[in-house]
Amino acid sequence: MTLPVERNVAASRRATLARARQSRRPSRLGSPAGAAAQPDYLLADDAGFPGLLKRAWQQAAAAPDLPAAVGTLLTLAGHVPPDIQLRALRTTDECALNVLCGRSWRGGARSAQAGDDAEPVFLGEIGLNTSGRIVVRVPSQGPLSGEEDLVGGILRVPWSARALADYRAEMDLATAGLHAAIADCRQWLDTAGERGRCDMLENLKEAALRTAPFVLYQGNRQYTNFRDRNTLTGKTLWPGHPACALSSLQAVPLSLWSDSDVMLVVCLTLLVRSAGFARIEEANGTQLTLDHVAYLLERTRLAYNGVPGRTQVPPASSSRVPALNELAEALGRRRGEIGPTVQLYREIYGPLMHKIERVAGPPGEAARSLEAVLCAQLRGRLPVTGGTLAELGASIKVAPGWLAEPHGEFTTGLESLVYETVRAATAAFEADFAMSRGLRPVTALTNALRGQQWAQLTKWDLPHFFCCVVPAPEARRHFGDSFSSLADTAWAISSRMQYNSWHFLAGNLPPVPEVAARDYFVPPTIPDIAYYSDQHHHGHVAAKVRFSIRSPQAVEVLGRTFRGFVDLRLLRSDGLPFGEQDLLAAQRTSAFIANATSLAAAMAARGADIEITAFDSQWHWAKIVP
Amino acid sequence: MPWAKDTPPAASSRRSERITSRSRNETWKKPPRRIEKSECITCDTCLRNCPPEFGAIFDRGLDVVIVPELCSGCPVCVMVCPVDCIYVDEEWTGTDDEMWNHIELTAGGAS
Repeated sequence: MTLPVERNVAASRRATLARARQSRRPSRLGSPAGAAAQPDYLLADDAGFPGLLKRAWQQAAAAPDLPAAVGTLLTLAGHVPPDIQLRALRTTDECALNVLCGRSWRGGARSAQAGDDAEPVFLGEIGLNTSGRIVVRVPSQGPLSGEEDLVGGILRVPWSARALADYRAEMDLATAGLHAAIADCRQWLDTAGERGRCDMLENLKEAALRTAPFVLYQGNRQYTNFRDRNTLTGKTLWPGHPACALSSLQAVPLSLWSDSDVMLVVCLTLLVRSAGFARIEEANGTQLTLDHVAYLLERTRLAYNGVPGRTQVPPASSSRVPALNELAEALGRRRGEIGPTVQLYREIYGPLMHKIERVAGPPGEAARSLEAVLCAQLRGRLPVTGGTLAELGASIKVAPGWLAEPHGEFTTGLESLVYETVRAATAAFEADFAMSRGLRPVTALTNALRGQQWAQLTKWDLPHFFCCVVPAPEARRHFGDSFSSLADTAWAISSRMQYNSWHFLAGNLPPVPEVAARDYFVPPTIPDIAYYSDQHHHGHVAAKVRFSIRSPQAVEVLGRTFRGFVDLRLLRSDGLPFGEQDLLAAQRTSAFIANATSLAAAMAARGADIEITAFDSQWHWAKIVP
Repeated sequence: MPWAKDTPPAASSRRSERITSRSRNETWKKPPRRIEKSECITCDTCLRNCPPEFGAIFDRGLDVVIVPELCSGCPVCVMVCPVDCIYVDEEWTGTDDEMWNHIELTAGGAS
């Protein structure tokens, strides 16, 4: 691993090695790394998602009737919108829930029949499986316990003769629709030709490799590069791995592709064409059929058409693939048009990693009040003037020299600006943690860019990046009321954010072979608000990342735009989630940091020596522990 | 795939032998390491820095795991881990077949 250039030229290699052998966990500073006999922080086996499912099931099992129980399971006890879970159902389960409970994501839900007084003719079951989906034992199926990995037990559901008849009618309709859709998809893929299909597979493998994980369903089949057994390219399965469903299709004739693979490739391609790779995450946790994709595209069309002053995107002329493809491509173009004029963002429902793209309204009084509080704090701590963050940024642009000079306790004004902005954000947004990440060797970056040292840049590792994390002192209540644990958590968060910066840097470089071979994610361009994200990643569970805002910003360096180069993140471990007005204020705050970083990079390009040296583990310990 | 990188042929061959035999080198004096998943931030720094002659660290779903049969107990991963979540694993247990099926694809640096 390459390290940033030592600023102190007298520091010997031996001293550097000695430092490297030290633990960087704040509470273990001064001890050798790897010497602790036991971990300090152990999570329960069911921490996060498994525990949430267990609680949701217990609550459903105690519900007074079937509709209430199903309602609880559909929201995972109030943690996700019910329509996501409805769209996750297999065809049989979807038809059964419609008949028994009158619940469907499609228009025309039936009236519920589970409670009718007719003599039951079949005793079915409802359960919750460990992926979080509702599963139903329908006529002709065996008990769920033999077929599913269930979270708890089952609820027995009596079916009347009328329910059975309605179910058969629903299934006949759904099955016919599904068969027609599969034939349609096959025809479309056939028309695309071998080269066209190969290009689609390459593009989708790249999507799976370069974006956040997917969890998608085709009936019982799970396509994922996340938890459980992986079936798509990602961190676990490298490109070309034989277990990747996409890779394994590449040399196989279309006639041998399974129906689910056919549907997967078509649906993912439509999603990507409507907005790029990230659109796939808006299908996370749901089934992938033409109907499901059509629903998502239509919802997006209505949202985009709500932006005034632009040409309207017409609806799909039919539910056939060519018509949906036309709509997807029109949405992709429309997204490019409205992007500069409105604030797009995503809601993230953490338990299912499901994302929904939204068009933000204008900043209101709440956002303006937050900004005013931030500005007042910053005017008192930094050499800036103005009444808005944009004005504060403009005042720096007039005289940016201080960014490259020592300021307060910091080696550079840029570090001081980052810290004071994050500190002010923690207080103003009433966050448990606020943070901002970036790159340490600013001048070295400009030199590397001038020399087009792309391969060298791909080798920069975590120590080349920083993340300044400022917790509220009261946040220690979430961590055993311990400042030491709070500091360890802040540093763990900081380290993970360094990794995120590492992950995004390469995505901004020309796609030379060394860059293409590097593990990287497509850098983020729009912000998001997350709900109940403390479910899956162990780091999220341990750091109690329940509600959050991520506000990424681009930075200009030597005329090159580095997307997602800096960000502001806000985190609450309990209480209320953040809202859209918080997000709009956060965007202005992160833009303030990005503006200063771009100005610092411009000075570095002109010869100033700028390197961020603060925000290491020692710094976090000193700031957090009294 | 990280194991394809700059591995001398002899070292690569010895790693392949360990994979084929699914066993740990008995001459290694140090016990293997293990990653405590409760403390791991999944940054893959250990994986990127594990010497290719060992190639002992893999992503597995949500986790980053050290395959004890391939880990010599050297300190490289420990030194680069930003959160110090890698511990000596005196009581390691054998790797499961599903994981070996995955690892076998990396024998000899082949992908």
